[in-house]
Amino acid sequence: MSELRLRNATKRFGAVTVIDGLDLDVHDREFVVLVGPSGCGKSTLLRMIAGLEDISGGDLTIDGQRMNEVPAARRGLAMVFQSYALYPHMTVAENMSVGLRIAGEDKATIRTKVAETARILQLEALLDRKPKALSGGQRQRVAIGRAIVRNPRIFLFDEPLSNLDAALRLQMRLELARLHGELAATMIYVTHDQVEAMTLADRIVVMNAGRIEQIGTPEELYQRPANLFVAGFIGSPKMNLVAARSDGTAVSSAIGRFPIQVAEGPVTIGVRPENIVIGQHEGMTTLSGRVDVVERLGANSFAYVAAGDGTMLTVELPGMTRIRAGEQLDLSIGPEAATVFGPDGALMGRVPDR
Amino acid sequence: MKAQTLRRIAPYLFLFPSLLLLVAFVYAPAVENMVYSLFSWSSVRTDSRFVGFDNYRELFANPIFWRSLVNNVLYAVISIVFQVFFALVLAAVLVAGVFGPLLRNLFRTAFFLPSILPVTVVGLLWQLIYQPTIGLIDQVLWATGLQGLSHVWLGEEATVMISVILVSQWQWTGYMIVLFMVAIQAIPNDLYEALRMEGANRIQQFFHITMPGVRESTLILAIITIFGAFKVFDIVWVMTAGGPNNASEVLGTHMYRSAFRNDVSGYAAAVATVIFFITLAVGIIQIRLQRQD
Repeated sequence: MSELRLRNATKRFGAVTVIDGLDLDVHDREFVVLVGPSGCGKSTLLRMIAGLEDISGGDLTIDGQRMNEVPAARRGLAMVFQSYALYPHMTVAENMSVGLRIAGEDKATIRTKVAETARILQLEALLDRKPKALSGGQRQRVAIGRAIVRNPRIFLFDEPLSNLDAALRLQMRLELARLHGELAATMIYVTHDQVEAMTLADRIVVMNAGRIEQIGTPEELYQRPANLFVAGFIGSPKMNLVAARSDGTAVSSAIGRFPIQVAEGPVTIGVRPENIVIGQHEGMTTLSGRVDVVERLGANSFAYVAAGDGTMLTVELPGMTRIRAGEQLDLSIGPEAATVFGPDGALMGRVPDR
Repeated sequence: MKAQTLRRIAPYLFLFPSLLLLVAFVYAPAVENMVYSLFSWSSVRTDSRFVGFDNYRELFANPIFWRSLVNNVLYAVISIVFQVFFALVLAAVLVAGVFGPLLRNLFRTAFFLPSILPVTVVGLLWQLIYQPTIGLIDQVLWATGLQGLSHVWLGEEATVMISVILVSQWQWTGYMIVLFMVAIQAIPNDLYEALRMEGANRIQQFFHITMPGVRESTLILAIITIFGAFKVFDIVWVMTAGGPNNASEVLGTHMYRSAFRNDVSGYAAAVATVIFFITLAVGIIQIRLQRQD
């Protein structure tokens, strides 16, 4: 069992508050991804959990035991660093076993554990190499291996894939997902890449400016972003966000009038690119615009469309679309596709299907 | 001239001035010195006589030469202990943040300051400190009731060499500390954090990360220290001029005295050649060790 709990966790560097009274629960065998823009405090939070940064206020408990003052090594955690942090003068086997050697494990146990880990990660052939002689992906696997060997209660990952090229990143992402299942491990993973967050996480924690904006499964965050920040951050390309006004019975904006009942006042309408349909459809809000750019990605394409007053909309199209830049395009948006955010940026009630 | 030709010879043109100076003032005199060492000659006479290896025979038969060589070796060993081992450990302690930034900078500056003093000033200063009765050391010994340990530090054969050697350590250890600090700071902090999470204490971190991380710097600084120990002249000359009774003689002072006091220039050239080959041997060992990486 590995249950991690943060209550009112705070981190201050001098007068600057980096983490501001944050609550978080990580459950046993859960893969939790902390995601957010750079400077949002996600790495600091991970380092506070790891014990590499002092906790200025609040409580950190693991399995019910308060950890604030427990040194990093005795928290039962293992961390994989962005730089891999492999010891350059040690071989792969030595890198993986250094923690066990420091702990005074007997040689036979160490050999077994290293061999077992090397098998899981397909590192057997590389055990006698120095990190210098490894590729980026291999180094990454050694860093993960070093964590596995310690059999930690919780794995911590600090942007582990950001130094890899795109193809390798995808491969390692799949490998991490496989490892998570195979080891039945609890993992906390920091990234700024929302694709990594969406694909790996059981639950995502979206952070911004030292606070949690929303915690939820990838589907929840995508379907029901709690606020404008999450709406803009999760999803690629971004959700279309358009300024609008509610009169209590409907919401009007530059892209049309939506029969959504929310409190009167200025609001923001959010529509995902894939929820905008080509053509004029009955029972939907329709509009027309000029195609500015079409990006063809093969399986799908994205058209950037300027609506009547110049508001830009991103629209998802089929991969082999005939639509070209410069064309005039009719678009429809169903009322259920629109999300409304209040003047404070928070999600407002969504109209149920009628 | 064609642009391509110019581009090809440009590197040599850049190298030429410094190479010319090196040949004129280092390599040619070094070779010339070896030739001189085969002659018996004096700087105040124009004639010289070829004597083959007579100067070397005389040299190896001279107890003062052997005493000097032993003193140089002692100089090198003690310098390695202070300027490499102690300096590395102190640098690691300063970098590790055991002290706050203010204290750390204070210590670093305090350790470093002696190295910017001229050797002559340092020599005179320590002559005063080593002075019997009125010198600082004797005063401290008397004040603490340890007068039994009092010596004429620079006047006794047993204590003179070690006294001078320790002055060099006082002057240069801080300089080496700063160089080691730079080398240690170049080690990524991640490595320390990763090992900390593995449960390593500061001493284990020192042996597992700091030492291997500064291996190359250590090698180079050790070699520089050994070179310095075999070439030492100034501090010894200022403080004792090799005395009393040649007890603090080093190869440098022995060579200087032979050339400019005793006017046996061929013999002095032989001493210089021996120093050259010792440092050359040390240099070759260094290159060998570095190649192993």
